[in-house]
Amino acid sequence: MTDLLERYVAGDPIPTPIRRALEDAIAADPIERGRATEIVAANDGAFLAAVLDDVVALTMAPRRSRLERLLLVCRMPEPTARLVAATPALRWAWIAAVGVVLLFAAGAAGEGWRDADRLAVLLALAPLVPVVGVAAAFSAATDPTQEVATAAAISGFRLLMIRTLSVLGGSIAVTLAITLLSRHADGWLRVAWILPGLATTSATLVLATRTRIATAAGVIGCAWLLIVIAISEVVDDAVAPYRWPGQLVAIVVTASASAILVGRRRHLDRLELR
Amino acid sequence: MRAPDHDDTDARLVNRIAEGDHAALVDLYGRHAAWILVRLRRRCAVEELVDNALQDTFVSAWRSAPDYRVERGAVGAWLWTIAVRRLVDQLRRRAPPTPVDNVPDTVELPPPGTPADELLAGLAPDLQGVVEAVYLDGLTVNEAALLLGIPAGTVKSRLSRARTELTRTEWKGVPR
Repeated sequence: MTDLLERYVAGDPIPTPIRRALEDAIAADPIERGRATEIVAANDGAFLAAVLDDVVALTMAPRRSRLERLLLVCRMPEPTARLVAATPALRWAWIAAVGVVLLFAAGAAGEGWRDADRLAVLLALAPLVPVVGVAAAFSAATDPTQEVATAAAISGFRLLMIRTLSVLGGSIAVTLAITLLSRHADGWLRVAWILPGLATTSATLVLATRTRIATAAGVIGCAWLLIVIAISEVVDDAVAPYRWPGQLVAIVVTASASAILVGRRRHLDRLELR
Repeated sequence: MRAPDHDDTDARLVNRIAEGDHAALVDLYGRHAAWILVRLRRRCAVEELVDNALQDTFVSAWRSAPDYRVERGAVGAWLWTIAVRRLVDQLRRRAPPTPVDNVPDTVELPPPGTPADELLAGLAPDLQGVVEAVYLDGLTVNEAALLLGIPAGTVKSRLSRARTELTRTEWKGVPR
């Protein structure tokens, strides 16, 4: 039998039925298998060890998330898909948390509140969602891909765009869902937070080129709340900041902030490390 | 003599792999990689394809370990079904696709427990490879064609000859 096994391992011609019987015996019987392994290892031990290294390395890679697989199906390049899928703001826990906060905001009401007041609470909070999301995506404490992103063969500016767009996509989707469900909203004012959201997000990124992103997000967030509260107090209209002059200002802020970011693109490589 | 619960050991290793245990994967590799390598070499002479297929086999086993069920067969047989498919994948990537008309994609398997060597021994040598690939390794006609390096039409005609030969012997009604 051992003789046959040696001939088999050596690749000598053996009639098919005999070879098959031997193969089935090896697959099923640990003793036969052990003998076969000994004979093979004498010549191919180093090779088998090398393949094992590759197998272990390949299986060490984290399993792809559902989102990442979806992005790959949509033909997104693999590195980009991994980056987008790793965005903290696209995790279910994050989306659920933001959704709950906004739902409570939508349900907030004081004595004698009008629909406009209730809507104003939602509209004031919604532009902060992408700001917090961006801060999480670029902060060493919350970003799981910190080291990967730093070492990635991809320009800092491109990285910034990919991650910011992922955050914006997720934030806008969840906020849109909540505001469209809200009973107090009327007409286009339901989505009046989108342009202010872009303005606060881009302003945060600009500020982050000079200071830590968490600080930038805090400063912009507070400034935003102070401005909208002040305006609605002065003109006695809760949704005044979101009417067309406000939208115009948001567009101007977004455009200037984007221009500044493009101008500073060379300095953006280390944004996330601040 | 070793303890008789070796298949049990393999099954337990696969269960641990399903839970993400790399040490179990290394163990399973140590127990099975060598014979799979040789068996793949006996099916394909291109070293590079065999090497890739061996690696893919254990990466696939890692991924599909949660789907393994003891009731459906021993770990060795399970690994071989993975290995022969990964080899066909390698061949498919390399060979230009051969257009074939009206080739049935699957063929009925012989009843479980049919001794492979007796089944093969009743056949002419040129039919043995086809019957082995399709009936014993469970490949489709197209996959068998890739593995054996012959046109799918030839696989089909050899299979029908094999059926005739087998019905003439005691394997009545095995493959129709």
